Amino acid sequence: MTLTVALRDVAERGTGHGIRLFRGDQERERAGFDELYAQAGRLACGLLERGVRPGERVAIALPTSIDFARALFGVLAAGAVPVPVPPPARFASLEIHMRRIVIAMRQSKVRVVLSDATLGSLLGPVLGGDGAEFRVLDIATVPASSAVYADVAADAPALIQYTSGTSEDPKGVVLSHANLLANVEAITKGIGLTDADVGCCWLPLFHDMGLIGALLSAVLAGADTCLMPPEDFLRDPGRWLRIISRHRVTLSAAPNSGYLHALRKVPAEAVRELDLSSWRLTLNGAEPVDAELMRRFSAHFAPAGFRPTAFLPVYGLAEGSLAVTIPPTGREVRSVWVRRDLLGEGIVEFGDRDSGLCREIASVGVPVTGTEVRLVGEDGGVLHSEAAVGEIHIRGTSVMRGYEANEPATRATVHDGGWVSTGDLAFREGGELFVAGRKKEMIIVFGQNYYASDIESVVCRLPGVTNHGALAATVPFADGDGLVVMVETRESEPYARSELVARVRYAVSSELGITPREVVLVRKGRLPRTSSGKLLRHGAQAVHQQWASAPPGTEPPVTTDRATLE
Amino acid sequence: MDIRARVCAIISKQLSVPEGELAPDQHFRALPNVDSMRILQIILETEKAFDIEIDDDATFRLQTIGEFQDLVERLCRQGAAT
Repeated sequence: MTLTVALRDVAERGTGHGIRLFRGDQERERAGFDELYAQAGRLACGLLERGVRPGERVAIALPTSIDFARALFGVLAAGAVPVPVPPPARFASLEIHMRRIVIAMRQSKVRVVLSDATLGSLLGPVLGGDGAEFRVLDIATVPASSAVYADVAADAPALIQYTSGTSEDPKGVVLSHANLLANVEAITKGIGLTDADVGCCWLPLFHDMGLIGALLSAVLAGADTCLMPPEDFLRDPGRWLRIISRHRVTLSAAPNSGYLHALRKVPAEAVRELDLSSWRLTLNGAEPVDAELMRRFSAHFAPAGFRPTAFLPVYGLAEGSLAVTIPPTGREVRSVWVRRDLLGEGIVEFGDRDSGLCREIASVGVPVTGTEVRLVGEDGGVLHSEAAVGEIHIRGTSVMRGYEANEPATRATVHDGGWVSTGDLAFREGGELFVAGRKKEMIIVFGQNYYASDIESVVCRLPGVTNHGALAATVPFADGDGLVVMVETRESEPYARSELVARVRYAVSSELGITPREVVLVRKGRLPRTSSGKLLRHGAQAVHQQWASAPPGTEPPVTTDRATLE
Repeated sequence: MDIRARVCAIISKQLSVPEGELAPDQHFRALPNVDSMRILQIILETEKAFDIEIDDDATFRLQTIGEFQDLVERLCRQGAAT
């Protein structure tokens, strides 16, 4: 079985269902699953005529759209392998964005980039042209008059999902048809998905949660799917809820910050005009889940018929296709209160919510069908006690075997017996998994992961940064976590210092798409290091705290730039 | 208030940066508090304030405040001509 065959089966069932694209509040375009299958075959034929070979990696640079689904299944029908790449950011340097996606495309030996007229006119002149490394094709011009569906083995690659497109060391998760079908089946079972469901998704499709969790699983279940571009959601999250209300949507998914955005921007009087009673389940993943936020969201939208049992906090990652654990459906979010200080030491001790010492952690449920989970302690031993925190390891039918053309990264992640380490820390209680944090410092913004080390490597190359001295850390602010970058410098002249702060912001923002909440300049030697001179990451928060609590004007660490809070 | 100053006022409000600290040659991505959500908010507010539509395509091609001001001026002129 392959993804293409699975789509054919859906097309042949004749449900009349398909994908609908919304812009603003209006339906812009629609394609039935039978049309999608036919279009995929014609696109495949056009790709083969243009020299695409079986197994070749083909980049997809498209917005959240029906074209994205056509491109995905078209590349697969050609027997080739889709590599989704993020679209460029607004008001940012296109050149830097290109450099970033080119790193990933080179790793996958991409020759052809499938795009549309709008994005293609941006990408084409930079990437394409005569004799260039890449050929940028407008998806509208590729389809042939006849259709082709290549025969592919179930264990052949079906998707390359890049998890860090920023560093010098790109990691592309290689997922086979069998991996993806196993995960889609696990999700279908876990949430009781059928073709009577109606999905709604505003997530970017180059990212696993949108691509597999929302698009692929709904399409292969034959469920009607409403898509809207993320920027439409960001501009007005009410659009998402109005689509759910008007089109009797039953399923959706978003990261924690998406629910927060909707909660903030949709006032009580607008809630009264919504009918959310059809909304059966809504997944919350890709970011740490906040039980209190889910309660607030439930209460705010209760007048529209939203049910608190709809929330499903989930855990997953690209290395496991997507879904790793899902809680039982039809119940309210389950959470526990644990001692914050002890958790940092890897010890789980339950406490009282009113003590001020405890942190609430929501259950992300139990492993999905076909995936095993184990927790591994610092010493490498498998944990059996419920009283300890360990690193999550996964294996099973949905789990990758390795990264694309990156043997060292694969060796560091895939262990004996097919166990894959995730870098996430968790504990078990009552047979369910509770995610407690990250092993490596990672900054998560709107469901996107950024490694601190990537941010630091961008910053320490900048002129004015002394001694490769840069540390990135997440620091709690009144309105949520924010990225703080601490930089060692010899500059003392105020103008030069503010220039350096702007340089740091510009570099981090345009290369990684995330902007530091604060940039802190400190004197050379002020950042914590080991005796061999390596920077100590876990010292970063302490330095920031010291800096933030220092009375103004004291030397050092010195503030040159403190962003105002909302 | 002219178009360029009004654009600055919108940016200043969305990013919580004093107008006096904004200059045409500044890159958006070097300003404090910039993220994709605030950028979209700036675009949305500007569209509303001038009753214009800013193409997605255009927002990928500009980087500085001055370039954005130029774009808004151009769109306002086109709007007045039609």
